[in-house]
Amino acid sequence: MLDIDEDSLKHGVLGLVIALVEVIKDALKTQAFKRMEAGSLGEEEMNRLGEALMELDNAFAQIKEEHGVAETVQKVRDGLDDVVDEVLDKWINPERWSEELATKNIRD
Amino acid sequence: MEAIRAKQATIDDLLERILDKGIILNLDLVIGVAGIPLIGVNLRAAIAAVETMIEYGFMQAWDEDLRQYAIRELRQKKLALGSDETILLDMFGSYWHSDGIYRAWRPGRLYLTNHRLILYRQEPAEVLFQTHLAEIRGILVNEETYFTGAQRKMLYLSLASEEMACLYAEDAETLKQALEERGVNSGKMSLENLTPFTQAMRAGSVIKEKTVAEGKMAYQVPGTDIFGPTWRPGWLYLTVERLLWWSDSDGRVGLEIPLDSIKGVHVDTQHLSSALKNQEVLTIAYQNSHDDRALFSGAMLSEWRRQVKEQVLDHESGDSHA
Repeated sequence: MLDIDEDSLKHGVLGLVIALVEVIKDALKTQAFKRMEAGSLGEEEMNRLGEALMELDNAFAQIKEEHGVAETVQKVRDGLDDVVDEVLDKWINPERWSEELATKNIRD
Repeated sequence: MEAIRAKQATIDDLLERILDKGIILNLDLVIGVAGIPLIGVNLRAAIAAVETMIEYGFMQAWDEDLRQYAIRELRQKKLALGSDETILLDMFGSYWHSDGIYRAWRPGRLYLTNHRLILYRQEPAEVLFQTHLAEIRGILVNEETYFTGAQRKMLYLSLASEEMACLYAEDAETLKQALEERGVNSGKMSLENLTPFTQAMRAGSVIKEKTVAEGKMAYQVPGTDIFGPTWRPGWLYLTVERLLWWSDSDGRVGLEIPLDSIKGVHVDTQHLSSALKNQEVLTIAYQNSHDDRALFSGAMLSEWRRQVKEQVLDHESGDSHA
């Protein structure tokens, strides 16, 4: 029998969704800083952008606290980082391919 | 010296790199059946940070236009206050908007100024409700069930235009106090003259006669075809003419039984489902095209039974007089 606890299901799904949206939010934040540094934005625009980003940060923190998913979100993000790291590592270091092939051959 | 990867690559780094450099995607795709091409897709996409786009001469005009548009919009959207008007209180609130079939809670920010009470929504900008303080004839704070099911304090305002406004305010008591300090009279309202309005928010549009009892009640909606019977939340109303159940989820009358077709009322305990055992259920036997039974579950069922019995008897004696 498959036993699904409603709470853990909520944690899992909500944590996953928040983690993904948070990644997008962080990307937007990085871009916002870049635009600010580039200097094309007016002062009023900078204030508005800064305020909105801060509100967004607070909202995320509040949602995570309210539903107690901060830990799950962190885990999902760490997991994503690991995947990216592994794929990139293989991509930019072709010598790893032969290493991997070798380990596969040993296993076979 | 050997080059080493000092730190783990994260998804944030990856995204930043992609956006910073920009990617160009060229996709040609033909979908076919049995070797015959049927649908062609020819996709050219460029994804990059706006800074990068501008650097390469893309989207510059668009960037300028969008920012100008935002600045213009924001200027218009600001809540317009009079020159001698100051905001005294500022809290989250919502207003029960009722216009024909469109009825809903509309949330925004509630501002109390020295002249007006305003509910303002920023995005998209609109004044959802406003009244001059001088036009408020009465205030009442009443604790009731909000649409989320939570118990909340509602603020009722009776206005000079004979209209009644229902607001939810984050801190209704403070707001009421502040209104009274501004000299708004709050003495002329009681729950009695409020009831028709609270009803109008739910079933009031269909009940014109006198209501004897009302309360939150779940009703077992009979099954159809492949679906078994299901319990639905709603409100039960007992009037001098009929018993009426208002379905919360559908927002309409789900069951209507004229008093003279009620044949019997009793309360007993039943197993409703594997999870709900030994629940008190109010069973009403009534004459439809054939003998039928309606099952209700909720609070104070024996009180309901007494009320229904009384009304049915009253109704019968009233008929014989006529």
